[in-house]
Amino acid sequence: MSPSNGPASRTTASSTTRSSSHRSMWLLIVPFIAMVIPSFFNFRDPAIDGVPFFYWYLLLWIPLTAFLTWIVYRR
Amino acid sequence: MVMAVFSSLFVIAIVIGFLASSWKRSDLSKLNEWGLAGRRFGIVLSWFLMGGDLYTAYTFIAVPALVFGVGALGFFGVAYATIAFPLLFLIFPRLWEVAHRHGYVTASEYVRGRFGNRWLALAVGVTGILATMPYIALQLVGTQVVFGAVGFVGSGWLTYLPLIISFVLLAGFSAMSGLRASAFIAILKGVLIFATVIVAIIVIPGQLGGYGAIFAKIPPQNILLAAPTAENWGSFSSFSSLALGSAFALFLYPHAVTGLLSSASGRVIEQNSIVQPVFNILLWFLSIFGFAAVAAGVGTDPAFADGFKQYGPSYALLALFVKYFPDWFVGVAFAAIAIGALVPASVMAIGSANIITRDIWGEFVHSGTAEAREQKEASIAKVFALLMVAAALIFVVAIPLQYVIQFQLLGGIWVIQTFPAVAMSLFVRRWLTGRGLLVGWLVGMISGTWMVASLGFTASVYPLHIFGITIPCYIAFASFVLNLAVAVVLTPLFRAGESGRDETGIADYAAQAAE
Repeated sequence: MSPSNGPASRTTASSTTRSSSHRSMWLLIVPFIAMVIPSFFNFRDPAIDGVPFFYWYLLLWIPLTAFLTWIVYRR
Repeated sequence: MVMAVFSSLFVIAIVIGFLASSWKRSDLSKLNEWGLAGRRFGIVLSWFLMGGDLYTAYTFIAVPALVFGVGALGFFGVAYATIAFPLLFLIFPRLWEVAHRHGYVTASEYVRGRFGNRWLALAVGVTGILATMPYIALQLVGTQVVFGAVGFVGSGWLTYLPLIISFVLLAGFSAMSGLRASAFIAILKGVLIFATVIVAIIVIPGQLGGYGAIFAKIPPQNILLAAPTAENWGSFSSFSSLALGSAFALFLYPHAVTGLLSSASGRVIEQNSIVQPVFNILLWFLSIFGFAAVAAGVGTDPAFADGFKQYGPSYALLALFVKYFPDWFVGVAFAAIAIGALVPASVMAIGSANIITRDIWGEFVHSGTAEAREQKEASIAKVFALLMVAAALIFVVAIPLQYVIQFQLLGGIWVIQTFPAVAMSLFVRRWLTGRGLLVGWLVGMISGTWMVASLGFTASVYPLHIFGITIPCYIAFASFVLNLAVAVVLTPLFRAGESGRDETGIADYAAQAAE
């Protein structure tokens, strides 16, 4: 099995450290804190286009989580 | 018109399933080829397969139904599906690496290699199969609801005829093409699902006067979670524990593991953790449509009374589509859901068959040489895939829907009990032992089942009483914590007498340089 794309071969040299001890991995705790503790988002206001905060906040965290994961992936 | 569009799309999906066997043609009499498509799906096929596999027809019907019924709490589904992907990113590339290096086809096979304990592996495998059986059955139920809504109605045993025909075909293409069929039908499913939701986003809020008008019609107590008081944490702890517990459980299901291991590399799994969540945006909109169904008043509309009577809140989304979509597009939307059931149902049948073949038949029944076993594996697995589908059909025809849903609820509570053995063991080497994990698993299974039973098998949230405070907690999460505590506490006791040999080395878990 040989990963054929560029980024894969570029980072494989450091991949053992990446999977076990890279500091940026701590970023991935943020979505858990943000989405699992309702005290942070159980509000109606501010609403956007009639959508209460509770709902658009959860929607916003979908791309934010992907973005944080991408940051960790790049390293 | 609905029926014509629906039937043509459904037939196309079945044909794709049979033709898929010729993709990167290989020896489908090998379990690795039939059951994991040779582990060579790149990011595109893997994205479609995992998307089609994890976001099941049942998900797309049950999540809006939950929001339709209880409101904000139903959005734990969005939170859970979002945090599941950082977990996927952190944990499962390591499972892929070690499975690739040792040729493991199932999670339980990895557990056997890691702890040298065939009983722990059997426990993990059987848990996965038990959790999957009602899940396949619910995919059939989803299809049946759609068939009914499209207008395939009959009386007596004829009610089940379309369902039986479609699942005989499902069993056929799964046996013939294996995981390749699931992946290629998943492409059609993905296209149809995205088309349906995008059209719904354009059409439905407009018809109802915008999102503000939708939320204005929702009872205020359903818009936010009930706030905690000094004595009772109310919906807050339910929301948190449901989100966490479901996220931990998601990738332990055999259909998820099968999908993951079919990736071409651990790197593909990492990439997928970033791009797969596009499906979560669909899930968010579908959840909002649960509210739209309330605002549209489909629940009290006499035109839909029969549907709600027969299927309950599960009918909400379908009723919404029928009410606002043009006729031909209702056909597309319903096909999206029915084809949406074929993908996970086939991966579930294949994943369970892989477990039965590798971890039960190969380990406990077959007594010949390893070569003889390998030659027979794929044909055994095909038979068991057929049997899994047949069992699910019998389930749906013979057992009331209510019991299937309760069984599925138990399935989620059971499958999370394999998290310490399958996921934590990828990182923790010293503080877990095979026997400790087995005892922990047993404690988790019993305590989880006991809590569900004490609630009459109708709810998954148990009111824990801690220091005089009532903390409603998802039973899967509570029993999992107990399981883990037992497994770790027993470690010093069992470590000395641990007889099983760990055949995996530390380097097996890390991504390797290109070979």
